Amino acid sequence: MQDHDFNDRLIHVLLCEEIGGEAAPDLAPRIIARAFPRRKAPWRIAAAAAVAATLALAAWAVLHRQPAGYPPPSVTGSCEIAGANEPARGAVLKANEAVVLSLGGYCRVVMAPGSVLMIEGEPRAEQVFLQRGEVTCEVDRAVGAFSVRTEAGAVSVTGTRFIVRLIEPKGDVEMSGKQMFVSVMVGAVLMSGAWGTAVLSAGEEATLPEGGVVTGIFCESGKDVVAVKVEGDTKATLYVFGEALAEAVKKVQVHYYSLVKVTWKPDGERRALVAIQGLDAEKEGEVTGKIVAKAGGRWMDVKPEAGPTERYTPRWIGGKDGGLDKEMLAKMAERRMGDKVKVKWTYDEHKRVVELTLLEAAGAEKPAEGKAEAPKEE
Amino acid sequence: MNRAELESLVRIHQARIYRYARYLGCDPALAEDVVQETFLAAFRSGKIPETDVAAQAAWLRGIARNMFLRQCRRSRTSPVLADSSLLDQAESAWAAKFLRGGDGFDYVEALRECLGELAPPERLVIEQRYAQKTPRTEMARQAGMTENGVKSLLRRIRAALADCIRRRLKLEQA
Repeated sequence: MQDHDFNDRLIHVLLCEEIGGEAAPDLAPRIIARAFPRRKAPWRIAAAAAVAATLALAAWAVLHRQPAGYPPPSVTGSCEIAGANEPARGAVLKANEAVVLSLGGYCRVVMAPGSVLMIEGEPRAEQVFLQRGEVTCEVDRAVGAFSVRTEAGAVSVTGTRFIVRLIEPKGDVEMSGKQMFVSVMVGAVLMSGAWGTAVLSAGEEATLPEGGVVTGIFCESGKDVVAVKVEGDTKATLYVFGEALAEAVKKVQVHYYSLVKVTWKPDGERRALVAIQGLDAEKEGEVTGKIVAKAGGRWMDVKPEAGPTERYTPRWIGGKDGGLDKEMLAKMAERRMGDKVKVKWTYDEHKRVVELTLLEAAGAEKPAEGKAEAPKEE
Repeated sequence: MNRAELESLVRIHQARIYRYARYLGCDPALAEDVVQETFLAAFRSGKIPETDVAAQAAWLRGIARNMFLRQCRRSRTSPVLADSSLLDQAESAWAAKFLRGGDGFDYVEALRECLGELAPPERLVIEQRYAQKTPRTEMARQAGMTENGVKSLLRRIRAALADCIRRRLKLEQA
C-alpha cells in the first residue's frame, strides 16, 4: 500500500465525519458500565425477587421511554391504536383515513386508509412493521436511520422519499406468499429479505421477491393450477400454469404427495409456474415401512419410518392376457394393514412393486379394504 | 484507575481513537467495538502513561491497533489493513500527515477551508457521495459514467483535497 493510499483513506474518513455526519458516538457510559459493573450482594438477590413484578412493569415503561428531548411518535389523523394508549413503540396502528405518523422528528410515514403497522425501532433508528396496506415515507437526511419491515422483506434508508405497499395473498389457499411493492421518489433505498438485497434509486420501482424455486409436496392439481406445500408451511401454495406446461405437470402428477421442485415468477398477485420437476423420479428403490392403506392387491400405501407415505402398485404386464402382475396382486392382497414390509420397486409412471417381503405381521387388525378409492385400471 | 480517571481518559481520547479505527478500515459498528475494547484493555492494564495527551494517544492507538487485528481474526474478515506491517505503515502515515506534532486539529481546519475552495462540480460529487450517501452505482448512472469512473473521480478529488491541505499547512508553518 502506497503513501497516497493512506492519505486517501484519511481524507475519506474525515469527509465521512465532516460532511457525512459520522462523528464518533459517545461511548463513555458503555465503557464505564463495563469497567465498573454493579455487583449483586446476597441481600440484593432476595430483594430482586421481591421487586420482580415491579421491574416487569418498569420494563414496559422503559420500552416506551425516549431520551430527553427526543420526540415521541405522534399521529395526525384518525386511527385505531392497539397495544398501547398512545402511538408508542410496540403499538399497532390501523388507519381509518390517511394518517401521518411522525417518528423521531425526521421520519414522516403517511399511512393509506386501511393500512396497519406496528411502531418498532429505537431513537435515531426508527422502524415500522407494515402488516397491511401502503405507506409513503419521507426521511430527512443525516439525522438517523429508518426502515420499513414487511413479511416480504425490509426497506432501509437514510434520507429519501418512497412508497412501500404490501401485496396480500388472495383466495382460500395461500395464493402467492406476500410480496412488497416499492417505489422511490427521491434518493435511494436498500431492500433486503430472505430473497437477497437490492438497491432501488429515484424513479425506480420494484415488486419483491420476484420469484423463486421451492421444493415441496405435490398436493393436487386442476386444469391450470397446481398446489404444492413446502415443509413448514401450514397451507399449500397455488401456482398457475398455461398450456405450455400442461405436459410437464402431467408428468409429475404420478400420485399425490410426491416431492417436486417448482420454479415460479410473479404474475400480478399470483405465482406463475415456470417449471416443475418431479424429484421422486428414481428408476428403482427399496423402502421399509408399515402398510397404512390398501385396496385389495391393486395398491397399497406404505409409511416408512422417515419420509412421506407413498403408494405402490403391481407392475403392468403386457401381452394377450395383459394386466397387472397377477402374482404380485395376490401377494399384496394377502398383506394386512399394519404389516411391516420391505418393498423393492421400479418406476414406470407409478412406483411398481417387484418384490414384497413381510418383515413383521400386524396383530388382529383388519385391512380397510375397499374404503379407499382404487386407482383406475390401466 | 478510578471511575473518574477512566471517564476523563475516555472523554479526551474516544473521538480520536474512533477516527483512527475508521482510518484502519473499521466500519462504524466495528469502530465502536474497537474503541470500547481499547479503553477497557487500557483500564485493565492499570498503567496509563501520565505524561502528556499525545503520549497517551499514541499508547491508546497501539492498543486499538491490536484490538482491530483481534476483531478481524474473530470475525474472520480481512480488511486491506489487517496485516501488522501495513498497520505500522498506517501508523507512520497517521503520525506524519495527520498529527504533525499536534492532535490533527490543524489538518481538519485545513480540510474545511479546502472544501470551500472546491469547484462546484467537484463539490457536488462530494456532497452526493458523503452527505446524501448516494451509492456509486447511482452516481455513475446519473453522470453517465462507469462505477470505476466515479471511484476514480472521487479519488482524484480526495487527492486534490490532500494536496490543498498540505499546501495550507506548509504556508502556515512558513
